[in-house]
Amino acid sequence: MSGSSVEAIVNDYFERVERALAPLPRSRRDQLLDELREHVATARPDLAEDSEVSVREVLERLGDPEDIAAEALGDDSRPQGGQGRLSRLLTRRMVITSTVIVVVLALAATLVVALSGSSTPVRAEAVASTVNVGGFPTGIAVDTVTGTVYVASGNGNELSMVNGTTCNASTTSACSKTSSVSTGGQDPIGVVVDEQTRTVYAVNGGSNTVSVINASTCNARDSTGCAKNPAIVDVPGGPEFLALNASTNTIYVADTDSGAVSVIDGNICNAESTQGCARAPASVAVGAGAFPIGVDEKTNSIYVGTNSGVAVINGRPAMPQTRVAAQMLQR
Amino acid sequence: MVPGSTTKLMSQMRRGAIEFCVLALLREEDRYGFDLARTLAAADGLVTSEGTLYPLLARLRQDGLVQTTWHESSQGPPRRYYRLTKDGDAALEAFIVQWHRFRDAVDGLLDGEETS
Repeated sequence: MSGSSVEAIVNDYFERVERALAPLPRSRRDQLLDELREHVATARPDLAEDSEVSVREVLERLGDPEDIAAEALGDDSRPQGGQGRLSRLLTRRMVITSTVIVVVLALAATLVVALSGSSTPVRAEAVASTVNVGGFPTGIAVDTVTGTVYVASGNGNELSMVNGTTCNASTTSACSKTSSVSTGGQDPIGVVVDEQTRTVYAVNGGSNTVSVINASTCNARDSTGCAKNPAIVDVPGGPEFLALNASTNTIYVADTDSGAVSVIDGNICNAESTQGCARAPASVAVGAGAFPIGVDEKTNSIYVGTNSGVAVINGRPAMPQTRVAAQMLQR
Repeated sequence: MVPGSTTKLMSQMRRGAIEFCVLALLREEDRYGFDLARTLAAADGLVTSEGTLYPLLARLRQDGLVQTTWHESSQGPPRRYYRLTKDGDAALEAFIVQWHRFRDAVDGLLDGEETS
């Protein structure tokens, strides 16, 4: 039996394992693949003969890729998984959110009652169309320059792009057509667009990274730049959502696991210029469970929801020197 | 009780106990993944698919019950060895106490039933 056919059997097996493990965050998948490869590499020198039959036996004992994946994916309800972590946080916060919805509904009802006496009827706008993007969308950002709606779905490794020119409130003719761009990371959760620097920033929750994508060359109408690997910023600490201060070109990322906000300087890390992307972002501690985040550009204040309330960070002076301790607002 | 449920129960019990079997194997010495897999597979088929051991090891490491170290190997590249941590040792000790009580209680009832 030739060595090449033995290699082909091993490669084929690992391709199947890799496919089965696709839903796992990249870091965990790579580690698992490493260990399984190590297992096979350890077994092979022990064989009397590195033949097709004996290598097949090693792989058979290692087991069906689906069984290995089932064992690994069973763990995903645990804190470390991207989607699992997000779902857990969403469930935990659902209590708060549903309260908000009730309040809004109550207000709306009051408004309807108040206005029902007048001649102008209050009418709710119906949903014009539903765009299917797969997964469950967790982040949306709109680039008004190209009319592209970028959607992060909390799983996989792509952003969906919807053409806002042909799918909007007035016309829904092309809402069924979407395209996609690889983020080069697992479980994209949050996304923002800096229209000035023409840059899309997407948080890959499963890979602890932020992808830097060129909005000029990769959008709903022009996909020529979509094949290019995006620049990657390492954001350890379990990043989930992010917010942009467009007036300072600064990107703020809520790091849920480490309870911090990472600050990326968009002036030196953007679609045109990526030399600053390798630099570790500045970090401001805000407390456990940092998750939703918003920016007031006028006052240069960053608001971050945490387990113990909303933290507010002063965005001045311009990044990346800022290391101002966050203040906690009263709830 | 339907006949199939014994198989299901055994597989669930095996699943529950196997993490502690891994910890027990590491009590005396550090071991590498392949060695653990073959030992468990030989022990009355505790592991049927050896590959399923690796997600389990990742879980134990995440929980801080084991840690990995690299050791030189006489043949081939260095190997990743698993070592029991202090927390892992404590978890194992706690399980052993509980397991013995559980085993004795079940044995007592099962044996009593048999003799009556």
